[in-house]
Amino acid sequence: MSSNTTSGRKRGKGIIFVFLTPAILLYVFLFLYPAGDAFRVSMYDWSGFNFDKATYVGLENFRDAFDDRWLGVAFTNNMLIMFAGGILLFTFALFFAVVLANRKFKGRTFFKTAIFLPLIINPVAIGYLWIFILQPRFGLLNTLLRSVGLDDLALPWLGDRTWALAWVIFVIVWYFIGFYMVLLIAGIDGIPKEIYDAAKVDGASGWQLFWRVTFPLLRDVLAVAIIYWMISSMQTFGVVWAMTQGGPANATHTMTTYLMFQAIPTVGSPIFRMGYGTAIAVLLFFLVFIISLLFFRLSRREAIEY
Amino acid sequence: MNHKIKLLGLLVVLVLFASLAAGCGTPATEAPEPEAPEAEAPEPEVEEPEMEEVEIDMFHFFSEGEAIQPMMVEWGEEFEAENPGYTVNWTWAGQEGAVQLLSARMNDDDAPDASFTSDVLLAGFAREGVATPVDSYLDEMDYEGSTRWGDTFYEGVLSNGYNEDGAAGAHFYGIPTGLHFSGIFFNQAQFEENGYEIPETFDELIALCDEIQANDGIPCFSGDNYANYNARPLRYIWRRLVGNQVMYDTALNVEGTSWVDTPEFLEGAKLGQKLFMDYYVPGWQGNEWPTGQADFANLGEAMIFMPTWLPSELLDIKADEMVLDVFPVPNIDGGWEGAPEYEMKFNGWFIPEGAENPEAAIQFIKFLTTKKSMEEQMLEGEIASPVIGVALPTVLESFLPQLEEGVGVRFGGGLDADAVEWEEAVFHPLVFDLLVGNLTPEEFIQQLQEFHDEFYGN
Repeated sequence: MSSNTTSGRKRGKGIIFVFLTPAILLYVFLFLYPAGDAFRVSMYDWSGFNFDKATYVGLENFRDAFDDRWLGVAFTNNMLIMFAGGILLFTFALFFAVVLANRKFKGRTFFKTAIFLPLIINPVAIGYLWIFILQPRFGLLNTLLRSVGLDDLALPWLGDRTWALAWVIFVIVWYFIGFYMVLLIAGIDGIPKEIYDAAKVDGASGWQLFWRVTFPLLRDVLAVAIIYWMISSMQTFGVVWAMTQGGPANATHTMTTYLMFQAIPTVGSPIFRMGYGTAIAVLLFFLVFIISLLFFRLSRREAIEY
Repeated sequence: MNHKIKLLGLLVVLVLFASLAAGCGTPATEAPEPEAPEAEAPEPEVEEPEMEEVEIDMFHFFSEGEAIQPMMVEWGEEFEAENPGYTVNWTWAGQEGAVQLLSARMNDDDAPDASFTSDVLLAGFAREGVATPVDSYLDEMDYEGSTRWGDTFYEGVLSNGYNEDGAAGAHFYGIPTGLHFSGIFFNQAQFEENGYEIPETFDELIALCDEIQANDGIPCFSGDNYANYNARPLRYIWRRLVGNQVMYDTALNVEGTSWVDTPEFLEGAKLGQKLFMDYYVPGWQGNEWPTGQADFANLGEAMIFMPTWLPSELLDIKADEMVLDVFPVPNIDGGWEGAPEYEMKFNGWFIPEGAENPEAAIQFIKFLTTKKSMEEQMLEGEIASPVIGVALPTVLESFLPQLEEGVGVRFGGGLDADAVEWEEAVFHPLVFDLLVGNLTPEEFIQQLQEFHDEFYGN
């Protein structure tokens, strides 16, 4: 009986291995190999064509990256999106999640759908939509401001360095808020009702319920959400590309848009620096990796069990 | 066990039977045909030489259904009909991913026989050894076999495909099939109604703008957001003050050149700043594409600096009252006195390194540049032709004298092809600050020199 069980287990493990093999192979060939190859390419001066003609430059591309003032601007913008955008995003996402997790709230499905809706639209389309809203002469926002007599506030929003960046951050937050709201609602729904009931019996107010029950018990979900935001904020591309293409005067570039500019020649900007662009991508990889590691370390606590 | 032996036996029998049957069907030697009665000896059949089948692999940046793409497919079919044995295969890569796809194919030793390009991209392709020289093909006869092929093109246009710093040396690397000018678009109806004249100098342009803004109450110019576009009017002004070569050499840090020591650069910066600050949409600060075009098309502004592909972009959005017309960028009194230069951009073809059938592709490109094909392209796509003797689309007729007598220079004066990194890192950000008034023209020139030295120092 026991030998049968052992051979059964062995067979089970074998089957698991068989089923896992395709996934592992895909992971190796579609992720590990290209990622590893990127490290190699980042050490070459390469146009993107005919790798035979590429020149090995060692770490020179990385040295160039540290000397590149516009990459510095792009990195700062990524940090602003991550932290300023993150504070904005999680404040609103948490607020909406708490309000809309309440089953007594009328119209919760409508609001949840409305807030989530931007996420199902392509970010490039979202970018173009906002260009028209922010157009200085006939855009919706300035027309509205002028109609209520606030002509002085009708600014060329995307043409000013500071405002352009502020709007880019706002639109990114607006775009992603629905996703994080849904994530947090799922977390709130998972908190047993009995805990709230017990707190209420102890006389907790609504505010206390949030700070003493909801917020602490959402910690694990929040940690996952924050790490996901950190990674995605470092990879921000579509909205920025469509809204400003990194302008005006390179003021709204993120690392990914700047990387694109350097690596992929286009009709408007025929720069052939695939090696340098890949070096930026490698730096980005390490940045995301370090940030993720740090955050996981900081938020490491025992899992909460109800 | 017995069962298995039986099964094996059955299989052996089946195989033997099948072999026997096959042997019966095809005799090893055919029985001789009975001799035919003698008859007149037939004419010996002349064996036609076996026609060589050639597949031409054409790589285009259009998507299916875009612009004149269906017409190109038709041309391919016409060419196949006229040249039996040739098959034209197209790849429609689409603008966005075209360069990546081309690079992937070339890295995989699957280079197409010819690839579409713009003159600016071509410069990079030539420099990086992606494009091969085409001088020898230009020395061949044209498709009809009547003229040297290279002589059928306007010299000023063809020269934009010549690259001094190509990987294979100074050669022609591209063959133009379409041509765009840079000009100033306006609403002809508005001009006629108010009796406005087409300006021939920048002074007249400024006077016209004053008149328009006073009479019509709309800004003279619409803005745009591409840094490259924003910088164009300034480059046009500089070119009209000092000629393209001086600007080009200075940007490429040729010895003896300097931004601060050439007074025309400061003069041009002053004029450029005035143009933008006084005559563009008030509060304009650059980022308006594509809304700037849409506003112009709906009579929001009187004019827009744009290349001549604008009409096709405004087709579905322009107001009914808008009668689109264009004039060349005016000259500057007392400015450049050398050979007249005009801003143009060509689209065309190059032969990638590693192409399998370059000769066949060239034969097809020759077909594309026949007057017949070019006239069809002009009529259907409103695209100017680089081939001499093909009429320009009506809206572009005012550019004919330039085309016939002038020297074509790229939109960016070659900087957009040969000094792109300098433009992105140094020039465009500073131009933005000049045009929106963050820098005075003097500060702009000073900083341009400083950042320029720093860029080349690194």
